[in-house]
Amino acid sequence: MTVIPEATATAVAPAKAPGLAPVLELRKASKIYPGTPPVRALDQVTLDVVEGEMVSIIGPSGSGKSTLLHLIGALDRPSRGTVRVAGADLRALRDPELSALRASRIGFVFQQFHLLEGLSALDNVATGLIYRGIAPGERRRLAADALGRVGLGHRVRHRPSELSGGEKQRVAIARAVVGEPAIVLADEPTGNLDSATGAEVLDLFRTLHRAGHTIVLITHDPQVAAAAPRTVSLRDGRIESDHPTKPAPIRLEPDRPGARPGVGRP
Amino acid sequence: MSAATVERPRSRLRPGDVAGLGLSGLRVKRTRALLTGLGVAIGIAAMVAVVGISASSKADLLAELDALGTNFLQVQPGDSVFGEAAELPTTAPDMIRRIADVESASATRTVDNATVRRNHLIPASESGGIAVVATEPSLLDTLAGTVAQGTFLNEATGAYPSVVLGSVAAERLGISSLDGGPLVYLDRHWFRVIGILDDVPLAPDIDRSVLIGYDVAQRLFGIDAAPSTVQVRTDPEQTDAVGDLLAATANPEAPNEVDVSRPSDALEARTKADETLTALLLGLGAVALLVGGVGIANVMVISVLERRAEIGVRRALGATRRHIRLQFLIESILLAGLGGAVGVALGATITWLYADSRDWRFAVPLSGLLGGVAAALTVGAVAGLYPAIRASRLAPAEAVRSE
Repeated sequence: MTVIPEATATAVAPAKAPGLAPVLELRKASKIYPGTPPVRALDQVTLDVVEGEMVSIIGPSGSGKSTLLHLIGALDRPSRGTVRVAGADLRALRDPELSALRASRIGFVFQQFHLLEGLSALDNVATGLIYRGIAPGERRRLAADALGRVGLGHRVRHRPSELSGGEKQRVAIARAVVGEPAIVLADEPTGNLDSATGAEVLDLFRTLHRAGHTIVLITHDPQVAAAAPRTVSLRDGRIESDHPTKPAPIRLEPDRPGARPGVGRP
Repeated sequence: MSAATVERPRSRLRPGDVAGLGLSGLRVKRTRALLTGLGVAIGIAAMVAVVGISASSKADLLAELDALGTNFLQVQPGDSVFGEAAELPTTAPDMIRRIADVESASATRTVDNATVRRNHLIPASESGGIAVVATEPSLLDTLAGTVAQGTFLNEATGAYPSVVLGSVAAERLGISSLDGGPLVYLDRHWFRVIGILDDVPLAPDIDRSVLIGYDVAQRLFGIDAAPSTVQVRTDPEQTDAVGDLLAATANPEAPNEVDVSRPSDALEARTKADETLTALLLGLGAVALLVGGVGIANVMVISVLERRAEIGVRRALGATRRHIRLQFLIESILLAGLGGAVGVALGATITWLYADSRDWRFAVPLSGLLGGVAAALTVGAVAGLYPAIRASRLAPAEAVRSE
């Protein structure tokens, strides 16, 4: 299987395994930026990602993967078509609701880490919960826990300037997962790291995936994309191919006790 | 599954966290925050100091006025209809004393042909600007004056060569103490100094005079009995009414040749003049504050541009536009507020030092202190509004992409 025509992509998407709730549902989603001529950055993309999946979205620059990231990250709304994130239709949401969706359902990891200078690793991770109105003490407790999960339990008091690139990205990943989001979006997470550190970060994503997190990796690098069991490749705003890197989606203990409260829905 | 069935959490920011966010922005760029806050601090300090110094000065003047009373009038000869210097009749002091509401009246007469010197070796031309004035023993009470040392003239000492020095006159003559019985030289006659006066704010002329008795002045210097000034203290309730009668009473034949003045008016005018100056200085302080505010707005706009990535991350973490707006607004208000607090403290300190150096009582109106802080907060809010709105308008997708 090489290229799946867009119209049939849904039908053959490996996401349709029974019992797995869709976290992302794109139906003929298009994004057109106004201008002369208007730029069709994303053209009728249909895509499903189910709970517990780890998917790579790969494409060269200009392929529309940033636009796709913005849509599935609820940072922007589609011009046409439907985008549902964790069950919520973005077109029906206004800014406060989109923000709330990001606060509670989506975790972001950026290429440039985007940690807040002047805050310790712990406080940076705790900031991931600040817009949920969680009390400071509870935020810190959860943040310490998340730092432990990414293997940085010993660096909680360090400032970003005192951390290596790999450590910074681990802090950023801890910030993304501290709120137990429905989906973790990583935008070129290894782009600013050397290959050894990049491999460690990808390992961390795989570990989180095994622990039950839904992860979408966005990259231009096929080697990075290979870290995920499923690869969606984009070109000129369309899905060029969508195939498992391994034969079948791995079912990942969806009923693991204590996993991601608020994600599982009927 | 439809959107309607999905539980809709809201982005929520605790009030305590809002303040924390505002502060964290300042903590990252400390030097910049310090310098920006300084602008506001200087403006507020200037305003508080101006208000404080003016209030202290006024409190002092008013206390002085209270102590001296405003029931004090001066009668002096004016000009005749022909433009020549007029004279008061010799009877004027007695006539004035007969007015019902006059509590006391005392005549003084400048002894034009005498000068006072420390001793006979000093040439007569070096009078030091000190007038020799003949007066009555009642003058001290009429002026509500006090002696710093010694005693004032009385009926007995006024008949002999005794002299009481005004405060400035004593200083110019170099006599600070009565120890050793100092003498001064008044045109071939030695006079014993029997007293030194405190300042007499209502009649500053007296400060620059030496006072001798009428009797001795007439005997030794042959002065005319016609007074050159009659100082009048009245019933406080009737000062205006008495003032209207004084001219006709002092010189019934030519009331138009009499000048009646109220020295406390001059003191009051001084507080008024201070008010004008205060308003002007306050305006300058406000300009400084305004410049400080523009500085804050400027820095906040730059800060928003620099922190696009942070704004994007916060939006990605779930901050609503309102949260971003709030964060930058609070940061600006905190910046100005801290500057304002420093400014108020600085202004109060300046006032205290100045009042202390002038021996004034320290008075900064509470409204001035609160007003200073309120002004700073307002400046911060106004200055931060536009940058905050700009920050909140950044599209999250755009902001995340920056760099």
